[in-house]
Amino acid sequence: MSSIQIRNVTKRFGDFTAVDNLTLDIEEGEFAALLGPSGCGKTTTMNMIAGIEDLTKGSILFDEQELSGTRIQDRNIGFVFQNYAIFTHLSVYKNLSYGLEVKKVDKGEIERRVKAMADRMSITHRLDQPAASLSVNEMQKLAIGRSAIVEPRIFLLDEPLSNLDAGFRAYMRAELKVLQHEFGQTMIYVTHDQIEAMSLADKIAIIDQGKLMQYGTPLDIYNSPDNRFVANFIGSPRMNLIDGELREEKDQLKLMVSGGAEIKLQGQVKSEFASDGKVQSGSFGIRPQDIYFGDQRSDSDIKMHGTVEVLERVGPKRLAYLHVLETMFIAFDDQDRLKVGDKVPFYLPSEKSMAFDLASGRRLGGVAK
Amino acid sequence: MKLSPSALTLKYFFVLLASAIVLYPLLWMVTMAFKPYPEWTTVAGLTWFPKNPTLQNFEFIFYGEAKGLVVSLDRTIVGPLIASLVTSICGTLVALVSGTLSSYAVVRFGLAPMLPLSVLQLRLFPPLAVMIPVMVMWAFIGAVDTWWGLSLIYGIVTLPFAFWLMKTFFEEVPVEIEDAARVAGCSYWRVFYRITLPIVKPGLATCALFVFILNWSDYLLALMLTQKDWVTLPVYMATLTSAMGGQMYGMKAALGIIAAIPPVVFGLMIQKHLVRGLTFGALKQ
Repeated sequence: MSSIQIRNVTKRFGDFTAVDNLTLDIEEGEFAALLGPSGCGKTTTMNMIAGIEDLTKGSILFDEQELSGTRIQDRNIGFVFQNYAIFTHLSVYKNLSYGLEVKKVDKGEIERRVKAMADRMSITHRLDQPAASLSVNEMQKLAIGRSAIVEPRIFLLDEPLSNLDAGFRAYMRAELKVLQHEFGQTMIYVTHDQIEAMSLADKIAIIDQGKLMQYGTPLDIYNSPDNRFVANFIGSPRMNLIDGELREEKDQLKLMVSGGAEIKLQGQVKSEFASDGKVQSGSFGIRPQDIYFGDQRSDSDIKMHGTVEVLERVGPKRLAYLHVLETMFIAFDDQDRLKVGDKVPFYLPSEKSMAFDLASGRRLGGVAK
Repeated sequence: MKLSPSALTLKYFFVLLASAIVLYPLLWMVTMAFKPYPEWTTVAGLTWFPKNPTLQNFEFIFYGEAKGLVVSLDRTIVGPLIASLVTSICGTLVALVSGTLSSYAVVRFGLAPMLPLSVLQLRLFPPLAVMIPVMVMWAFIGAVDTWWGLSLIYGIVTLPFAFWLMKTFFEEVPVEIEDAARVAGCSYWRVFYRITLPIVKPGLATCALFVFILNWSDYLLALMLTQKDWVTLPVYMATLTSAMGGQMYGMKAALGIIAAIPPVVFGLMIQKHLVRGLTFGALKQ
């Protein structure tokens, strides 16, 4: 078990910068997720930690020890690949025992550990069969078992659930969490699925275009995103992000949206927008579940009027698509009273609204709430 | 889809016709090998099956003479058979080892990116165009009429086949499988011979068979680069004529059967891999 320090790591492939000055500290025993859209550099980061890719700049340390001189085979890493990378020419048993044989572990010990791991992964009945004959779900289990059996210092998982069917994915997600508790190992998990990251990880690093956008606990990231990208990326349904020009008229700060809609800023979100006098255009963020209908709950809440264009059922609740001129807000119809075509007032609570600088994407007015 | 009886009849007719076109020459060769001299000349009129089956033709090529024949041979099949086996196998090994190692280096490590095309270029020359310089070079290094001289040229000429075949097989192996082995603690070399090579074994077998057949059936190179000690079967076959009897078809047919045996045996031996090799790329991703 080790902690991992990623210090100012940059990776370039020719002119393309895959990872840009990334710094990340992962504590011992922590389950960290690297989350980002496809091609954002998360797998490259993972490969650099494993030693499969060289670094262009920067350094990666395990327990504060520089790794660049350590060969990949001496790093003692468990790696589960997206396509499992099962040795299809070997039996299931040989797949499990491979890492131990390479490390010249005693034969009896190998047999004991292989049996225990096969039992743990419930693939005992498959041990003597060729690995190529396994189902995708069993291959997944074998891939995890093969990596775990050598008791690695750190455990890297590269989108291990993306090829599974929906039912088994949910099962494996729960299973992985249990396994992490059992192994107690430092785990890094690459995914583009925020639900996986949110439900599994102790900490999430959100990466976009090779840059670290935010690193924190799932709740932190959800409740107080550092920037517009994270706000937009995390949460389902997505946060309403309304972009517009900031204008001061008769002591009233407004966000003027193209198409004519305007948001009269009040309370906390107003002071956040006003905190940086240089910002010309901003982005107003509010999560769908924070918008409410009916009576105004606080004086500082912002009142809007909109037309219900579409109502969409999502499980027990309904999502309302509200149009204010050409601007659309998505809200949960919490009282189940709306009808398509209704013109209704709704409120944006200023305490729960977020202010971003449109140009840089940066959160305005200090992140901590 | 179920075919109507008439369509089915038509289908089988064409299948039979196609089989007959393929099998007839083979059948003729096999029957002719067992016919005595008078039956394979047109004097007696052609017959489908030997009227008086005999092993005379085999006896003749193995011993140089046979009972009831006035002609004799100054060289039996034994020498050329050994020469063919030795040079074909060694040539195959040369092509396979160098083709496998170099294509792996190109595919996995991106070394020598121009190599694939320059290797292919070897095949763009008709062998005849470079045959004379090769003869001179081989004479210069004393490689003419030696087993290693012929093996070497076989290896060189078939290298492009081995290289390109193995290249496509290696490209099919997901790099993650090798990464997984390296993460497990294997060195590059160990990954290659314990993981990658076993995975492409079907490809290796297919490639070996192709290259072996190419070498086995070569005529031109052996004709130019051997004189007497290491004459191979195809060259030997061409010499089976006599001043009195003309072309010795019966002996040639007997020789043809013997020459067909090694590739067929080799093919049967690796049959299991052959199917996999020809359908490679169906790896579970």
